[in-house]
Amino acid sequence: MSSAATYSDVRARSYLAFWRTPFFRAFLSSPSGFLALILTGILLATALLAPLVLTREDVYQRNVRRRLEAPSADHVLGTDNLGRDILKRTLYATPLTLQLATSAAGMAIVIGFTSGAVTAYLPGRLRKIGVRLIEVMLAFPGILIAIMLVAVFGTSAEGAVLAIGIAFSPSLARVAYTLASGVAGLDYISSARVLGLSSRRIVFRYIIPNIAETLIVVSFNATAAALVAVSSLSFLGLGVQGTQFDWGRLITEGVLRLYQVPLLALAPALAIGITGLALGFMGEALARGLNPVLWTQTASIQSRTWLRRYFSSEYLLLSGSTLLLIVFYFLPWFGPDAADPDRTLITGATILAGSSNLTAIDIGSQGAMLLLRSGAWIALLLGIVSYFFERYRRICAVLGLICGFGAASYFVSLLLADFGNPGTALASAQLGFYFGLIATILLILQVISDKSAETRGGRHAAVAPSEGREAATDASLPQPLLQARGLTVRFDLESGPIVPVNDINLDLAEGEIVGVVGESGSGKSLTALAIAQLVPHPGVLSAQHVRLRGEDITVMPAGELRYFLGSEMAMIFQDPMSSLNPALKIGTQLTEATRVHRRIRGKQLHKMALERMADVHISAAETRLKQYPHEFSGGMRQRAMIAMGLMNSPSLIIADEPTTALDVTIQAQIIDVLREINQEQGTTIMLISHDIGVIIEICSRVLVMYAGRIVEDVKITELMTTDKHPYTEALIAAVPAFDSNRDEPLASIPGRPPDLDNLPAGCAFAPRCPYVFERCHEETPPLLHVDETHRIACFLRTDPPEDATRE
Amino acid sequence: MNKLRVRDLVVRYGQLTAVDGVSFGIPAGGTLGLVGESGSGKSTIARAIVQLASVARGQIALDEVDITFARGADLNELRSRIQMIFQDPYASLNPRLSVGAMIDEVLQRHRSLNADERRQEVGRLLEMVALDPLFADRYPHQFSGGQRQRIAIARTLASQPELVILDEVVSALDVSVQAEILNLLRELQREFQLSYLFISHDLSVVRYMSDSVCVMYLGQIVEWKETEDLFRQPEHPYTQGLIDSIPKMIVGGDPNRIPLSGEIPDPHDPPPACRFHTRCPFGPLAHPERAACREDDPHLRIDKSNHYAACHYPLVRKELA
Repeated sequence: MSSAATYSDVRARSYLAFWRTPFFRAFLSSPSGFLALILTGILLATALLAPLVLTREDVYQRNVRRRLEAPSADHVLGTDNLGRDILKRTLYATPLTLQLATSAAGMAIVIGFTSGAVTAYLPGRLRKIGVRLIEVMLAFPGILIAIMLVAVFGTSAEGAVLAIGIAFSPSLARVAYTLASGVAGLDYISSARVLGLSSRRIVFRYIIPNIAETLIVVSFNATAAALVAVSSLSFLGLGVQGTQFDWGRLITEGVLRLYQVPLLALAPALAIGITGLALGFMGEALARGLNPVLWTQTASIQSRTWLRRYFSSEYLLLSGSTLLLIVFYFLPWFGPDAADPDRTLITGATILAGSSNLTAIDIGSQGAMLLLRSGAWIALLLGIVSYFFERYRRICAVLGLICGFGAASYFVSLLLADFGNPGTALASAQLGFYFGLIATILLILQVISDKSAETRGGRHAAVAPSEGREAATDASLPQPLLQARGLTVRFDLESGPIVPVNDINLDLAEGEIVGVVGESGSGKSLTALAIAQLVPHPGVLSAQHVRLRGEDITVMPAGELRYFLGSEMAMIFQDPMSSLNPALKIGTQLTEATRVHRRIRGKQLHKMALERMADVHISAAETRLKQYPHEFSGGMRQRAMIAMGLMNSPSLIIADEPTTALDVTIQAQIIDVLREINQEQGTTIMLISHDIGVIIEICSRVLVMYAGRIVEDVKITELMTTDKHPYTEALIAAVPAFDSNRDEPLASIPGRPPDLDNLPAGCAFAPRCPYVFERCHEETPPLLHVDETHRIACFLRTDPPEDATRE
Repeated sequence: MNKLRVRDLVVRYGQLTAVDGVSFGIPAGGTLGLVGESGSGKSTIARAIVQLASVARGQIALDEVDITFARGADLNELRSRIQMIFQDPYASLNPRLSVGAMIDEVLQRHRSLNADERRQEVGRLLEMVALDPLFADRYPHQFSGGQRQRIAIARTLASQPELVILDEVVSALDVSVQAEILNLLRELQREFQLSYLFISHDLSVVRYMSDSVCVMYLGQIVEWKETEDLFRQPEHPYTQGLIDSIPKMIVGGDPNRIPLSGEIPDPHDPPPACRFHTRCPFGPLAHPERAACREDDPHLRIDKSNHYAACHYPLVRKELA
């Protein structure tokens, strides 16, 4: 069977049932997908069934004797001022409200998207006029324009829809314009044009699918906004007229009696809220469904893990307390005295406390009631926040518990208090409050200190005391400037843990320039970040120690660490534009750290800045200091970054691919600057690069990294002469040298770097290694000294098998 | 015979003259390298040839047929004959199309094959760039940079082009992957008699790929030579500077190199006469008597051995004398 036929087979098999399609799996890959389905299902069912199930009598029949009743079995949400069932009326209004909202939004979407997209492709001047026009329209609040337009179209449901459709279109036009003009300049659109694809195909296969996600989210949000707007117009009496009613009109009726029967206004308001949520979730989930990035494995992994996540312990605690508080809140409504739920609670408390003095309890319980209520709502809110924002989950769990705890302590203090004396009741309630407050502050402090430890790479669990002592005895030897032992960075991903930096031991001597080389994904940049204690979330750093000038920076308190690294270490990154603040002058950015850390100011500081600018050969420094980053070229920005790093005379500069984004001519200049700084100021430099040519040119030693480990540590002078790690050999051979034979194919490294979540057993390089033998697949070779200055992690070099030495 | 011939090409973006009177030819089945710093106009030439940028003046001819202003059916035919591969394989593939679909639509456009034949062809093209035909069902985000560049190459081959413009195709890739892609491109060139315009800022890569090389500075060609000659005896000081800027795998750097100072000037306002005189280590900066550099435009001259260098004081000639 040919491979092409295999491909056809796969195509044939890819017709899947709807619920197994990648679209639907991605749609459901987050809880909002489920919520969207459920809420939308309920809404649509209500809209379809309400007019069939409910008769006109149900919603129009007056019954003045039963007016303004509280919720009961007959009337679940109570009755209005004419004795009509609130729930039935709210449900009955669903189809009309949805119809009005969707037609208004549909109009706004059609007008907005078309005019926006057309504007994007208008010739020069016309386009400018179009954009200005849209912007002017945007300057007025949509609802105000709608009200003005209603005056033109007349006060009716149709008038309101027309008015909102027009009033809401400018904001949608603006979005469509930005998206359409943004996507037109992209490389894949250019490549489609070069491939000769028709304009229609480019629009429908290249442009629309790539902006569809945003358009869908925007459309659904616009529908939610239109719902609110239509309801507002009806509420103001400018929308639905006569005997017809939508949710907006129901609110109008309810607001008049807000203090007697809050549910009269609350029920339709809640309906609007739920519909808005449903629309928002639906837009988000649909957009996710259309994203092919989520069509692959991640989607299925995610859809399994969010369920698991929901039932994790912290979550269970939080959702449990939230649920309890909600029950607490609503319970009294179903008590014997439904009209006055507070009374029920108080009676309950009285019975529990065995007291009969209701007046006293009344006073004390006011506060308790308030706190119970607010506690319940806050806990619910935190629950929602923590559900969708993973990084705040922990703090939300803690705060949610505090709220629950605070409310409960109030209640308990109330019960325990002597109810015969109102003063005691209040005092004990106050005591409960302060107790809760102190507990809250303590817990917050705890969370903050946890957090700061986390950002510094967490606790360093692996420090055995004996190792600490052993290292201390080392101190009699000449200390390297930087010494890292067991440096490891771990990411616990949903698909499993990965270790992009794995047990790195390295020493940097004073005044050295050490290169770190490796392919992308080898962990070289992360190693640099780990040394600077800047591992990005959610990575966890661990190490036996990282000593800079003999000080172990992994155990340093956060404040001290910042100061210490600020004066001893500087980092330079690949893209100087993203490391510079575009809103501040170069001079301000250059001097900021020194002003703060070393309290040098005024003329002296300015002179220092000028000197540093001279160090990196920026001419006209006086003028340059007053300029903004965008006025600098790429090479100049990188020089400015280096100058900034030099301001505090650091002993170590870590440069992460500082020349990769620059032209070769500028690269040569920047390398010269780094070399000069090293020679004149004795600064140690760690230079990270994927280009071994650059490293050979400037460094005295090189660390070669592969799949998160150092595989070789060798002096540059020995690099060309001695036996090397096969990977180092391959890296050097892959550079097209100037004296190479042009007729021969370039040496390349077969295969590609392994995925960190699926490392091969044994040596990670074994699958690509030309000298591989059996042992390589079984054991991971340790990094061993082959001579005093040369370390290799390869059995071929450190422990060669008898028959493999020849090849 | 030249596959592509460009004469006196001028391309402007508003006030900016990005390409200013450039002429060169690409022999059939051969490769012309185009090097220079960013802002030298290399990519603009590429975009002009594939009609993504409009030509202000000059002529572009394919097989001696003027295609400068091709439209309609002519342009359609041209699209299959001239193709381009872009620098960033993460940006040049539509993220919403599967690999199979994006190759298939090129086949639909330029080849008269039925659905079944197209499916076979997609598999064959993927195999040609050493990818598994089963990858046809995957989406771009599932591939590494090198694999994406292979996909872009397969898609390009789908239209059976004669000339392919390679715009910095390996500069976003790791060295090891870069070597594989370059080898692949050379194999394909031999197999299909492709002509390449190879654009890069990396001279060592250009040396490996090209038969002859044009060096560009601020929208103009300053030197054009056979590759070996260019690297052995560069005549223009800018070429020398570019060669010196490349790391040579010499420990501690090449002590004899003459570094280029400064940066490429603002192309909105290029220096008069020789555009390079503000940075030239052999020009009026170092030798005040060489006033010609500031006053006369050194046109690209052709000398006996078919070398072209736009310099009043070419390096080699001075050394030989």
